[in-house]
Amino acid sequence: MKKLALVLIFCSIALMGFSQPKGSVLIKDGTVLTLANGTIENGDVLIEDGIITQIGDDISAPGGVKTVDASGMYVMPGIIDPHSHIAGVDINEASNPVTAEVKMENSIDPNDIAIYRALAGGVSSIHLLHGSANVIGGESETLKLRYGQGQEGLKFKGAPRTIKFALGENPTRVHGQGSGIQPRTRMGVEQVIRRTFDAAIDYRRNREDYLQAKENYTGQGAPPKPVAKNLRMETVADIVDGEVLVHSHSYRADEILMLMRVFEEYGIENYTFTHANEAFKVAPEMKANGAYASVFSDWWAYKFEVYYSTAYNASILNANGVVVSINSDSGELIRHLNHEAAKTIRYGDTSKADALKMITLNPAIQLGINDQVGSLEEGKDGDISVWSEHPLSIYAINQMTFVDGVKYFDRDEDADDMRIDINPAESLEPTLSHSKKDAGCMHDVFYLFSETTGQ
Amino acid sequence: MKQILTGFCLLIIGLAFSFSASAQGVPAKAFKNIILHQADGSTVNDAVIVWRNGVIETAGKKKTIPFDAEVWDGGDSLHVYPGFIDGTGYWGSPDRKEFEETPSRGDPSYERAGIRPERHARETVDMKSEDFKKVMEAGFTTAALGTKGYMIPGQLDLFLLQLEMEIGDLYAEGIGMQLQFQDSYRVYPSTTMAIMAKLEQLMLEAKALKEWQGYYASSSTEIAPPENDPVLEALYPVMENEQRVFFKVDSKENIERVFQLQDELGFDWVLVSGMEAYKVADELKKRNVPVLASINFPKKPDWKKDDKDDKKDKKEKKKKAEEEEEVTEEMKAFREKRWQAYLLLYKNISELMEADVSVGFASADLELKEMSNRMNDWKEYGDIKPNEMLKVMTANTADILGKGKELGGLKKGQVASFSVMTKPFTEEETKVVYSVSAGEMNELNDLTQTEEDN
Repeated sequence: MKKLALVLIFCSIALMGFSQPKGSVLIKDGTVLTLANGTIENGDVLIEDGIITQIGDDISAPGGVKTVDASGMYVMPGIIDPHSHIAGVDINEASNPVTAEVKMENSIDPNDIAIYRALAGGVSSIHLLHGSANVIGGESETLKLRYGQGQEGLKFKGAPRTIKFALGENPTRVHGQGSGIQPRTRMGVEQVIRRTFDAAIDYRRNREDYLQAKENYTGQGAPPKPVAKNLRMETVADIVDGEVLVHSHSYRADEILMLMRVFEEYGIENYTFTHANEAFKVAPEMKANGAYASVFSDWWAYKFEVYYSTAYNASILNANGVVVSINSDSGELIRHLNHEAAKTIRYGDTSKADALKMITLNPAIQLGINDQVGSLEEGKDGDISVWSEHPLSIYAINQMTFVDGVKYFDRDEDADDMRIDINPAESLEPTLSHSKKDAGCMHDVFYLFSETTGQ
Repeated sequence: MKQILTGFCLLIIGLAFSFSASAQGVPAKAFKNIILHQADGSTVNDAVIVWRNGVIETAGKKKTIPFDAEVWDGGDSLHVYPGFIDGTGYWGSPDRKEFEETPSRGDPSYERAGIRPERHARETVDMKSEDFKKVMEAGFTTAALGTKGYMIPGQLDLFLLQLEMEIGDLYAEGIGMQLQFQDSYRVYPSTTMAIMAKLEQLMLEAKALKEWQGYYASSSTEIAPPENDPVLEALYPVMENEQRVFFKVDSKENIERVFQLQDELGFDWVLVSGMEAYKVADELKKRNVPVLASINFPKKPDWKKDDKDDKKDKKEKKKKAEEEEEVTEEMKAFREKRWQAYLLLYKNISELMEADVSVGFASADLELKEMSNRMNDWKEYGDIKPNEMLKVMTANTADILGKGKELGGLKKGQVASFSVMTKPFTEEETKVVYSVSAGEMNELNDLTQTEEDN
C-alpha cells in the first residue's frame, strides 16, 4: 500500500507536467495558527491554484477541490529554514576570500533525500547558503521544497538575491592559516570587506565610464580601452547598491558591531547575522541598526569563538525588538525546528506566537519573501504544515506538508524508500545513514587543510 | 606508406589518384570473399572491397578487382566492418598533471587552474602508446583524441589510427574544445559553480581583448598595444561560434547546467559521455545538441553477476549463496530499485535514438580493459540491435564530428578505414585480424597461428 502511495504521489506530480506545480485543497476543521490574525479553532484554509484564497470556518470546497480533514490537528505556515546546506552539491568555493561571483543556484542537488526528511519536519522553504569559508562567499538561493521537481522546480521565484558573508574563525582559518593570506585576524576580515567594497565601487564607475565612452566613440581619436565585465565586482557592487541581502556568519559581539559599522558607512541595510551566538550582548545596537539575527536555540561550544553562548539568545533578541529566527545549518536539526523554536519558551519565556514566528514569519522577513510566505493570510502561498498536536509540543508529529497547495509529505503515505534518483554505483549504506550535508557551513573545506596542517 | 589525409581536400586528391592509379604506379589493394557490413546495417556476402591510395574504390558484390591489386582472400568467413570511430577518447594521453601546493589558490595561473584551450592533443599524446594497438584490436580506426585534464583540457584533434602513430596521421585538428566540470584541486575554480562563473568570466575577458585588438588594428591614433594572451585568444572560435564545445558531463543536473551556460554564452556544443542524457532527451533534441555517448556503465553489483561473470571458485560461490539467503525483503526491494537504475543507464543510447537525438560514440573515461565488458553489457541490456550499435559507432559519430562524407562507411570515395574480423563484432571472442586505416594495412592477429601457438 505504501509503495502504491509513493507511486501515486510522484506520478501525480509528474503528470502535472511543469516544474512548479500549483495545487488546490481545502484543509478543514483544524486549529489554524495564522501567525498574522491569531488562532482559529475548527478553522478552514482554502488553497486554490497554489494561493490561499480563504481562511475561516465552514468554507465549502469548490468543485474538484479535495478536502483534507484536519480535525484534532494544528495547521500552521510551512516552516522556513533561513540557514541550510541540504540540497546542495558544492557548498564552499573555498579557494579565495572573496567569491561573490559564484551562485548556489548552480549548485542545487534536487535529489537530496534530506529534502524529503525536511518536508517530514514541516519545512516548506529553505535558504540554501554558500558556506562560511570566505569573507564574502557566493550568492545563496532560496528554495521551496518541491521534492521531485528538479533544479528549476525548487527555486523560489521572486525571492530577492542574497549572499553569504563570514566573519571570525572560519575565514581566518581557511585563508589566513590555510593559505597564509589575508585575513589572518578579525581586523583582516574587516579590511577584506572594505577593500572589496572600494574596488567594486571603482570598478562600477570605470565600467560605466567605458560603456559611455564606447557609445560616444565615432572612430575618430583614441578609442576607449575596454573594461571587461567582472562578475565578482558586479555582485559586490550590487551589494553596496542594496540589491543583494547579506546573511553574515558571525559569533562574537565585537565582529557584529564591526560589520554594522562598515555597513552603515557604505549605506547597506536589510542584513542578517546568522549564528550570532553573542548577539544578545548587542541586541539594542542591532535593533537600532535594523539588523536581523538567525540563531541556534542551544548549540555551541564546537569551537573557541562559540563558547560564550546562552540559550536565552533568541529570547533576548526578540525582547529587544530584533527580528530573530531559528535555523538548522544541519540535515538533522532541520527535521525538528519546531522543537528548536519551543526551547525559546522553555528557556526565555517567549510567547508561543513569537516562538512560531521564529521559524516562519521572521525568516521570511529576513529572506525578503514575507509577502508570499511565513503566515497564513489570504493571497499568500499555500505553504502549510499540519501537526498532530500543537507544533511546539514535544509530542507533536508533522502529518502533512504542502507547498503551493501540493502535498509533498503525508505521514500516512510515507514509504520506506523515498529516494527519487538512485545511483546504481552507490551501495545502500549512504542512503540509510545521515546525509553527507551534515558538514554544514564548512562542507568541502577541510581538504584544504589535509596536507598543510595535517588535520 | 603513411597516408596524410588532411580533410576533405585530400579525399578529392585521393579520388583523382584512383582514376589514374595504374598509370602512376600506385597499386590497389583488395579483400575478396568477405562478408561486408555497411554502416546502415546491411550485409553483403561474397563481397569484395577495393581501395587505392587510402580511398575506397569499390565495395560490394560482383565488383571487379583491378589487375594491379594486391588481394587478400577472406575465405567467405571474414567480416569487414567500417572502422569504429571514437568521438572523444584519451588514448595515449598522459594522466592529469599533479601539481605542487600553490600559494595563490584564489588566483592561479591558467595552467594550474587547468585552463588550456590553446593546447592541442597532438602536442600531448604519446604517439608510441600501447593504447593505439589495443583500440584497433577493439575495431577502432579513427579517434578524436583529447587530453586528460581539468576544466578546459585542450583542443580535440582527429587521428586516423595506426600501430605506429605519427603526427602525419592527424586528419583534422581543433575539431572542438574540450570542457568539463573538473576542478584543478585546491585552487580556483574548485567547484562546479565556480567553473561556471570562471567560464563566463573568461568569455567576457576574451571579448574585451578582441575588442581592444580590433581598436589597435584599426585606430590611427597611437594607443597601448593589447596584451598577448594565447589562452583568451584560443577562446575566440568558441565565442564566435566557429568552433564547438565538446562538454563532458554525465548527470542530468550537470547537463542542465550546460544548457544554462549555452543560453548565457551562446556556444554550440556536443554532449560527451552523457550517461544520463536520456533524462533530457527532448531538450537535447529541441536544442539540436548531438551526443557522443559513453558506455562506461558502472560495474554490475556482485549479487547480479551470473555464472558467466563469476570467476570465483566453488567455495566462494557457496559463501555467496549463503549470503543470498540472508537477504531480507527490504534488501531485495532496494536491490530491485538499484537494478532498474542500472537498466536506465544501459538504455541511454537507445532512448536517445528513440527521441531522435543524434547519437554517436565516445569512449570518454572508459578504460581499455573494460571496453569488452561494457560492450557486452550494452548489447545485453541496452535494448539496441547490433546494426544500431554499428551505426552509432561509425556513421553517426562521423556525422557528429562533421566528417560524415569521408568517414564512417564503406562507400566509394570514403576513406579506407575498416576492420576485418573473424566473426560479427557483437559475438564473443571476435578478433580483429586486420585493421585498415587510411588504406594502411595493420595486421593484428595471425590467423595461421593455432591456439597452442598463442
